Amino acid sequence: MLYLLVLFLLPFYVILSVTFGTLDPIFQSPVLVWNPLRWDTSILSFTLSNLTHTDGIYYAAFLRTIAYVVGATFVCLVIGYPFAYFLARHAGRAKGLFLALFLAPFWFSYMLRMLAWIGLLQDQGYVNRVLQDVGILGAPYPFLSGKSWVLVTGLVYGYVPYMVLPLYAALDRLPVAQLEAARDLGASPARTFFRVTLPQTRQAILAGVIIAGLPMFGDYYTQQLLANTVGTRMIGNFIIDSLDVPIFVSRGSALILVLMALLIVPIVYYLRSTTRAARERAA
Amino acid sequence: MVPQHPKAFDPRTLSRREFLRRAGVAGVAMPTMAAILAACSGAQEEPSGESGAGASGSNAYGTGGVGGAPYPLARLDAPVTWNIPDDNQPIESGLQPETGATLKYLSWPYYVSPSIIRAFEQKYSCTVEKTIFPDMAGGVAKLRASPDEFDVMFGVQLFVLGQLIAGGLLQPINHDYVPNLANNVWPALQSPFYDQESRYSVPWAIWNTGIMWRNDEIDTDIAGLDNPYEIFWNGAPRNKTALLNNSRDALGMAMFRRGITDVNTGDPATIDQAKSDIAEVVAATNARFDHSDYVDVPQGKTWLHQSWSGNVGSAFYFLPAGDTAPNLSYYWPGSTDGIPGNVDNDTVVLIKGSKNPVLAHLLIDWVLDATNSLTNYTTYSGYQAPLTTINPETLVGNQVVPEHLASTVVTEEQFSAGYRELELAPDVSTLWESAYQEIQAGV
Amino acid sequence: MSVKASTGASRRRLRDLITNPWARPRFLWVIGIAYVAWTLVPVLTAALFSFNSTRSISLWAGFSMRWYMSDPNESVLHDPDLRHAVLQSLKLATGAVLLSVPIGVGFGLALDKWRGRGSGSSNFVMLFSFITPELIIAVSLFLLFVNPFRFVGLGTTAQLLGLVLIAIPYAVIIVRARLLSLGPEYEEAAMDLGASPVQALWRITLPLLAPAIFASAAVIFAFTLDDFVMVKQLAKDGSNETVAMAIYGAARTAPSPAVNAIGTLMLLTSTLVIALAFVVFRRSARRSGTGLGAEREALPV
Repeated sequence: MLYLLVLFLLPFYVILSVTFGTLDPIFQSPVLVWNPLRWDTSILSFTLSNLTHTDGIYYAAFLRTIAYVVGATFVCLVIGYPFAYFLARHAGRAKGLFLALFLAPFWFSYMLRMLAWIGLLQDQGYVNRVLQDVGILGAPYPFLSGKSWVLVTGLVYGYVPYMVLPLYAALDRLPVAQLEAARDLGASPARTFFRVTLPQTRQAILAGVIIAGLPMFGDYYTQQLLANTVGTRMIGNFIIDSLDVPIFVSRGSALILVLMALLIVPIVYYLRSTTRAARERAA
Repeated sequence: MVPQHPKAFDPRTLSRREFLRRAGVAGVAMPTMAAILAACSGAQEEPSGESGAGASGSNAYGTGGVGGAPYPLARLDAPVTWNIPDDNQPIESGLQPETGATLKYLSWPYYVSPSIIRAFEQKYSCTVEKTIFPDMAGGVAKLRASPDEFDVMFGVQLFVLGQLIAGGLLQPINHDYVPNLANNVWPALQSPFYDQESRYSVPWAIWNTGIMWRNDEIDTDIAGLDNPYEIFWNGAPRNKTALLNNSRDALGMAMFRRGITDVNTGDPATIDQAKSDIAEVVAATNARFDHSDYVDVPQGKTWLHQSWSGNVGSAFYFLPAGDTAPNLSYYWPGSTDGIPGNVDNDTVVLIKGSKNPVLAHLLIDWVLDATNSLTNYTTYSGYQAPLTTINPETLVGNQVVPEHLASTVVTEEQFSAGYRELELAPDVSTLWESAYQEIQAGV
Repeated sequence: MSVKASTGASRRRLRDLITNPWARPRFLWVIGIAYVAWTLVPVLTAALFSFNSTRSISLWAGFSMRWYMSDPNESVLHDPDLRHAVLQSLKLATGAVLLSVPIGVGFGLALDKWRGRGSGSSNFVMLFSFITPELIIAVSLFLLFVNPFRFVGLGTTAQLLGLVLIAIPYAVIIVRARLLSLGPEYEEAAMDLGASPVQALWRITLPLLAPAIFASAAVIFAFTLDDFVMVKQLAKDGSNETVAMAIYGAARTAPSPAVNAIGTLMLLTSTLVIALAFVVFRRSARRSGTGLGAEREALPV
């Protein structure tokens, strides 16, 4: 426990000390201030106002990040649920194989998967060439030049396995007897799904949304690899870039502080409902 | 970001070195002594205007310069002479080099040729180790983290030199050990404005900032334009344009385009205007910000790129099969009459915490040797050094850079006519960085 | 089934297919296959291009081992930077496993003893690092090691500490899940027969935990091998570059099949490790009589 304390709470306190700290007069690098009584809140207020006012530096990126994450998570759910359903209920004898194939991306490097898409979506890549050969395109389409939908698709590609996992676990756990009972009582497949299956997977949907969606808030590399223009920058980009400029490191840490504060709410909600559900199951 | 050093590459530029090794030596015109003397004797800079606080920056660290920071900020018309405090005197002359020592230096990637280092090791029976830093801020951080570990640092840019001196990290140079400074280096850089009497530094590499483009995709004769910078605002291809990803170069170009030569200004209106100008380019062309011009332009990912002169050599290596050099063009807008452009140099410095100061001095002298410097330039780093001994007649072999790319080599006229990106007062620096961040935010 | 019955069934299925092609199972099969194809094909393409005979990562020009061994300067065999990246990745992954598995197992057992099996509140802290964006933890550690803990500084040690921090929860959760499914009976039985708690732990519990320990080692190895955000943030310079960082750098500037090659090598390594773990887990789980089902109940998803 001491280890966790040191390596979780201490860095958090460092974030606070940098955000509320000062700058070295000669090197203009951040100077940590440990004593809360001497904290300077100007950087935090600067950051907050720039996040919330429409002409603030971070405002657009903040809204954009939320939009991307919500969009990507939703698409993950739309794609992930049917696949999880298939895997749990209908794969039959091929279940083991599909399970293995599904789990595979978990240990494929995220970077390699993005590299694959870069190779395919480049001007000379196969996607452009096929579309041109078939006649849909006249000239190469700039997939990698700041297209929001490409970025969102990239996020989906990267994180959809995390959506499928809890859904699969829940669907697999669902007693077949319940479904058969519903059918026996005359419910159509659709009705069975909506009245029996879906409600029981609610917790799993929440889990999937949290586990797949929350990490996306810290993403900067997908943007850099797949979109990399001013119009697609996310909050993660601002955090990372601020670390390169000594005077702006405290702005970056302030952004992290705000991000943590915002994410705490869904994290705590999820953790509490999970532990409650686990306790109910064990009972 | 702070001004980027052209060597702030991703380490995957080993191929660049490969190419240079194969391509042979440079053969393009180099400066002559007389021309330098003539060009540099007269003052050519406009007054620094509103850089910093205007008043002299003299204080405990040095005399001259302009104010605004805890230490003097050097300007061309306000040169700085750094103080040599009593507790930081140069070493005595006539000492013997340390024996069996391990010398450690900091540098950018692929910046100092291993062959000249090996020769140094053999001559003085020592071991030399290098530590790489990927960007200037990282280099400063490394030095601050271990001030007693290193002996020499290569590639210190002018805008951090003041910090390092004021921060007590450097040691004054005893010129008795470095005769090559007086013998070989351009007279104009023997006692430069940023370090009069070369007390703490010697010059290392020079470059200019211009425009690289693919002439098979862009019809405009950029070099022939009245104002070559205008291409970014008028005729830049959408999704195929890129600018350098640092505040000084990007905003500086917008200022140069409008004929403003003081790119160290602290005037918020000027900076704001430059910001709007660049934002205009971004809006019209979806411009990217990066410094991978040396691979993006040859491969066709970018057609128009704001560039550093040294990157062109790298660009050749990345040409795909079948593509030929004539498709690439580079031009320094400062070559056009009446148009300002950026030139810059960086330096080599002696670390205060050096455990082998005599050897460190000798290493600095070693790299300023005519042959060694030429070897470094033509077979390894690709960045030219401002030495009087380098001129085209003594060079043999293939041209690294063909005629239509002659602009990549900085001539003496260019160097004295170009405008420098210098150290800014902290509040001014914040203005520049904020403006750049706002561009990145699309605000 | 008798032959007659089975052909009857298949004829019925065929009829179903024709009359109702959108019946649920068919539709789901399409989804199943499409999903798997969509996730795997790009990666297989990337792996394929590592064998490309030219420098391109988008145009196939023929098979060659150039980027693995024959190119004298840029192949994985000859380029010291690429080799170093591979070694650094393996070094960090192995180090992470060696440190986080014992610590994680220890935590798991400790939590078990003092909080009871299936207790939720300590899962809380563990899960926290799962869902927090890695960027937040990475930057926090970065600032920690650069300023107050300058004696640690950036570099391999920092990278290792960061990875261990986020890896421990995996071990804890897997071990606790296994403990939950095992139940306390074995230990209690051993202690009834006169074993001390320590003996019971050493000779009964730990061997029973072996598959879980092995599984956590495999999972931790696989994901730390490819970790990007943490190792990049805590890297000091080029000597700390891992394969993931190399791929990222190359993808942003000059992609080369050599980088696909090291990526593919890591891919094979992870796959091997996971496959091995799976086989071992299966065999020992079968032997101890508890299937995967019980573990899955105990996982917090």
